[in-house]
Amino acid sequence: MASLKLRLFLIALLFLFLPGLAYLYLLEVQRFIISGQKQSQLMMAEGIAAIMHGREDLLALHPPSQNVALSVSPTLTPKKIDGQDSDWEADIPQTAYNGFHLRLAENPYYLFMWVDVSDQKVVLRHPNYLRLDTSDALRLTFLDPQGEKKRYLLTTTHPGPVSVYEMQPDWQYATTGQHDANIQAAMSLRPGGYRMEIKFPKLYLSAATEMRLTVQDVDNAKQRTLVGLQSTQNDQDRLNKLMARSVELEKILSGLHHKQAQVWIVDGNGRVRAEQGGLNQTRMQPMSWWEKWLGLDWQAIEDIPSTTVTRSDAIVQKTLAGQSQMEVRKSSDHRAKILMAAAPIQNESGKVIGAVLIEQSNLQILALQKAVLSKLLVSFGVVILIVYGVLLWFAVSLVSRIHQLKYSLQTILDTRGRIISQRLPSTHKKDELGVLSREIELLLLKLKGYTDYLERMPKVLRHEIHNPLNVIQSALFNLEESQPDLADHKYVKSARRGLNRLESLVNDLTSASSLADALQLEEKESFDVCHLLATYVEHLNLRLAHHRIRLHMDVKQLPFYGNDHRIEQMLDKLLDNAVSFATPDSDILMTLTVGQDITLCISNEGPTIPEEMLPSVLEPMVRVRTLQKSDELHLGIGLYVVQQIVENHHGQVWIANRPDQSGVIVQIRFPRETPLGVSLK
Amino acid sequence: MEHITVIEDDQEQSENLCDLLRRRGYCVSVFANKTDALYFLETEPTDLVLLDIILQGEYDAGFDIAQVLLRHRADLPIIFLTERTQEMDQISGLRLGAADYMPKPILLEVLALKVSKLLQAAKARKLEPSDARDRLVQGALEIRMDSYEVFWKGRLVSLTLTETGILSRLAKRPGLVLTLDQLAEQSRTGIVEKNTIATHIKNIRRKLKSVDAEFDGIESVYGAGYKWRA
Repeated sequence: MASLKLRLFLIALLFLFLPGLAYLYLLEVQRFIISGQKQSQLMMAEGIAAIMHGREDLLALHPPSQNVALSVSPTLTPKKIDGQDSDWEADIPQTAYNGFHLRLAENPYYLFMWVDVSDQKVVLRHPNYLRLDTSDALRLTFLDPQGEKKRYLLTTTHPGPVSVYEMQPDWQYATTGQHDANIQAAMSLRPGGYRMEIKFPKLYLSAATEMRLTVQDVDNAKQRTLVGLQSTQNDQDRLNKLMARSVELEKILSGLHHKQAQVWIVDGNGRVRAEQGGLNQTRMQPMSWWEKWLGLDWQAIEDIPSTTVTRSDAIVQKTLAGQSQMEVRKSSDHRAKILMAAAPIQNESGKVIGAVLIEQSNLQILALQKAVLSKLLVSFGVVILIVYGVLLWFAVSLVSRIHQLKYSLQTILDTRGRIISQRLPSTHKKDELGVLSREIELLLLKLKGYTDYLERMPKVLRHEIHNPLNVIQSALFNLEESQPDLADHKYVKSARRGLNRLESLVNDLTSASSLADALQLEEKESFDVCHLLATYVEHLNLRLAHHRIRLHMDVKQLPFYGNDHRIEQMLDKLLDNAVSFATPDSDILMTLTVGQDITLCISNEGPTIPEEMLPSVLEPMVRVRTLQKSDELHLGIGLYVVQQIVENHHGQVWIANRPDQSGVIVQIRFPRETPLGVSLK
Repeated sequence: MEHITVIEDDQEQSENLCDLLRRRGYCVSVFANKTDALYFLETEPTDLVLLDIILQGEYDAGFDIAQVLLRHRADLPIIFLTERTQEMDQISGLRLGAADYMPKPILLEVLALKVSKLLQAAKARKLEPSDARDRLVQGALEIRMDSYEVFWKGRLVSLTLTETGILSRLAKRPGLVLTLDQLAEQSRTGIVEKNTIATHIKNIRRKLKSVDAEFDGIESVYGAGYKWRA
């Protein structure tokens, strides 16, 4: 059966369900929050879509054409116009044209162009030439905000900063000959060609954002004749449409103050026309030390970059089909989930012209969940530790008190079952154990009182009986002396005999109790127990008529610390019993062996003791064997006296029947060591 | 006529005792409690006191009375009416030279004998030492049989009457083992109790050793009895 402590510990494990339940609750709350967030995002997307309703001007699609529209990517990094593209984002695409490659990027104020021209013979402008179509250069043609076509030539005499001139329609001479410093450009040579980096202010462009780039090629530095023109638009009368994200759109979005999400506006072809916000928002509150300790640092996630030109997600396609959608996907780095809500943007006639896509990571919810969970765990952990500690302390103290009670109960009785002390621990406590202790103490008190009464009884009895006995004795004597003729009267003799028997009985009854007191007071001394046994047996054998005591001893001399007279008394009782119950003419065996203990055995042939009586044969008033001499009295005191004497000498008595059931063996063991340190020679 | 005071709280016993003593020719006064007895004995002389130890529930009343009496008269013969060997030890330990004891139930015949001997001994102690016929001398032991005084190496040893009787019986036959029956007859205990005799022997040895630590005159013959070493 498990101990109290173990059971209490196992029961207390139920407390561990609490954090589990709390976690489940937390998961439910998380699901609820996410669901709410999705709905909120969808409403926001639909709201933005409503704002964008009918704005075909912002989301107009261009018809397909051989001439690819110029796609402009957003850029976030500052650009040093040095003719190098080392500070250009790698994900800004490069479009190949005949003889050159073009990369276009923009920020809210500038359009950046990177042109890589393949030209085996680079001929730069002659500084003395006024005519400007006599060298390798770039031509920019665009519509200004007023809708007028403007022409600018970017040319240089040497690698490095490029001069920018507004040109006449024939591209031969500058209109004013003044360098336009608002357009910055730089050129660098490379094997097989040259590169030019241009920073073009968007203010120069019309809202339609149309522009054409043309590479002017001259291969002969002496003749300086134009050998070719390669352009982004084959039709010289037409310009390319710059597919840049709409500044106006982004202004609208920024006005909506979406700080917690990333908002994408795509056109009917899924091209990103505006983007605002981001997935990696800053924490709303600073981190505490334990959150850092628990590793709850806000970690940025990696997902679809904000410079993405097109969104071809399934959700976008479905939304462009005309239905609002909600989806959850994993971020690119699989660290978070992205909640997506998309709503279609329609024109006046209900045709879908674009879509609003709002994305938000669940990182904040996760972080919140982690924070709450960690707080819960810490709180629960502390509470459970405290509760466990208290329960454990309680269990230990309870078990300790029970052990104390058990130990006290074990030491309350001596070897003979007498109550030594009835004081128990914790009886002043008011709990159940205290009540139990008090009840047991009360019980012991009553029991001790009763046993004391029983123990006193022989003394009381002796005292009380002796007086009437004395009266009878003295009265009989006086009767016999005053009336001598009555001395021989049979009734007087009968009274005398009865009185003698009564006196003998009373003495037997009281001898045991007085012996206990006497033994406590008597002094012990060292004597030779072998000499005692030998002398005793020798003289006893002289008196015995029908038996003989055969003594065998391991040693010839054995110092023993005790009371020789009481040992003799012990032998009297044992041999009196042995002689009384021994088969006529049989020998009584007595052996003394010395080993770890001193063992004395007395064995006689004769009737055995019933097995069920053996345990109680040493108790007073126990008669177990049939007498062979009917006129002798055996009250059963003898063996009790033997036990008292043996115990007074720190020994033990055993009584058993012979293995062959031919008689009885009494074995007495005394410790070999004595308080005087006497040892066997 | 010699006067005997009986202090016994049991009326029937005291009546029987008084009848016996009066038949023997003694004058007897009877008291049932300590207060009355002491009050009387403060002023009235007595030759011997028969004293029950337990009086009206007071367990050591007898000893208290004895000590008071002996303070006034150290040689007053007292016979204690005892119930157990412990009390015998106690009495013996009181070093009351003139005291003796009778275990209950009392054999009146023996009691009468003890009374007579104690009174004789008391008288003899007041007289000049008697002649050799009344002395028992065994080596360093001298017992004056008339006064029941015991000397060891010339020093008086305070033995009770019973102890003196047992010692004299042993010393009269040095080297001879006396059985317990034989010794019990001397102590007149009636019921032979080995441990009673053993207690007497123990007390005798203790008292003799108190005057001579080397005393070893009494030998225990286990299974037989005791003997005086020749």
